[in-house]
Amino acid sequence: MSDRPHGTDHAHEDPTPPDVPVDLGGSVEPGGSVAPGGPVDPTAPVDPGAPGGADPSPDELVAGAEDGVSPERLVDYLDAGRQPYDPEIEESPEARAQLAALERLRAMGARLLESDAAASPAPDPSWISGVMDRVRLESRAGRQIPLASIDERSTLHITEGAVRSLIREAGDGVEGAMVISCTIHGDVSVPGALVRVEVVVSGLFGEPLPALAEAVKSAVSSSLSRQTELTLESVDVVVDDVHLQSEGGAA
Amino acid sequence: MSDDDGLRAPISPADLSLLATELGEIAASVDGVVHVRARPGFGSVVRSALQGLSAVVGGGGVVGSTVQSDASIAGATSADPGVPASDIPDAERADPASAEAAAPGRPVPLVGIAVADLETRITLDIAVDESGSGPLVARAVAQALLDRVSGEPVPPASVDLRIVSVATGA
Repeated sequence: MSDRPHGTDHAHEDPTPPDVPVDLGGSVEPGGSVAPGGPVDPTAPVDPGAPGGADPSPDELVAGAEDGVSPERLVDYLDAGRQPYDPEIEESPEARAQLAALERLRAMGARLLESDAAASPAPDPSWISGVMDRVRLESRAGRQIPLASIDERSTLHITEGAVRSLIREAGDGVEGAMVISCTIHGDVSVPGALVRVEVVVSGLFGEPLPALAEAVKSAVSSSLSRQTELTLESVDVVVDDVHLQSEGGAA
Repeated sequence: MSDDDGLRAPISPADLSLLATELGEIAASVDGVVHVRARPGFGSVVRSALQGLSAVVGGGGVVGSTVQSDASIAGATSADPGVPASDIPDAERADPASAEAAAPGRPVPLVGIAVADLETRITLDIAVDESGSGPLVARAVAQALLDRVSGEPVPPASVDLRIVSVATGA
């Protein structure tokens, strides 16, 4: 607490509870019932009622499709090597988050193709599209999450969109994991309120899923601890899918 | 504020705009800050939230542009104190002293400053580097801005700051 001003009791130093449940109830075991041709339901990421469904309402889903930078434009911009500089993309937190997710998706696809080039067909565009739809939704600013302030009148926040991008990036950073969705449950606008983070991931076929989930949980907890003052009740990781190298599920 | 504050001339809109620009530079220079961004809707928000608003500067965009120029620069007239600033058309709010700062085509400072009767509100969004601690960076920025404004002839200042992005590899 030494590096924080007084009156910041709501912010705790270690948001990771000692016993964080890892929900593998919805997981698919390697060698199980994964259909080779259907690694991921592309509609799942944008279904608010699905596991890990986001907080935004259906109305927001519609609104989200109408504002911001279009996915096609982001793809074109990335294809062009982010040149010439596009301020509307580069200076928009939402667009930057989507761009980063798209780059990670492509990087993962490239790694998978390199590892199994001969057998890998073209990536399933609907899978990518589904994940990117979710990324677009999650990158919106959303709720304002308070940070301890330096005085009574000033207000400091981090946006929910920034936090969701953090979660996604931390999860994607785990080898073999691809974040499908992430949701922050609880009243994040109240300092000290317990919140639960749910991260739905797809695991690379052949990876030990419990270890993968544990690594995602650890990465997410660490990132949130450093960049936010959320009081985490738990970080729940759900391995909801398994992607196959030969199917390019995550590519 | 000191006892001398009542004797000091109020800051002109042009100087306020320069101050906003300087605050943006100060914020950007704080370790861990990657970008300083304008708060979307800054102008309309402060006009509806602050009582006795006398001046609003900053908030991003370009003077004369219809895009992101919701704040631009405006000094509220004092001719009719019963009329809230939000009800005064921009053209009427424009102060001749702000002509230089509000020259068409000139970028509006990203940091927004709203001066009201009893409060000065500094508003900005920032992107921070993932390698540091976002909350610590936010507090360092807020403190640096308040330190800078403390010597200005404006009502006591506060900061409204949001971290809107945490960038990696910056």
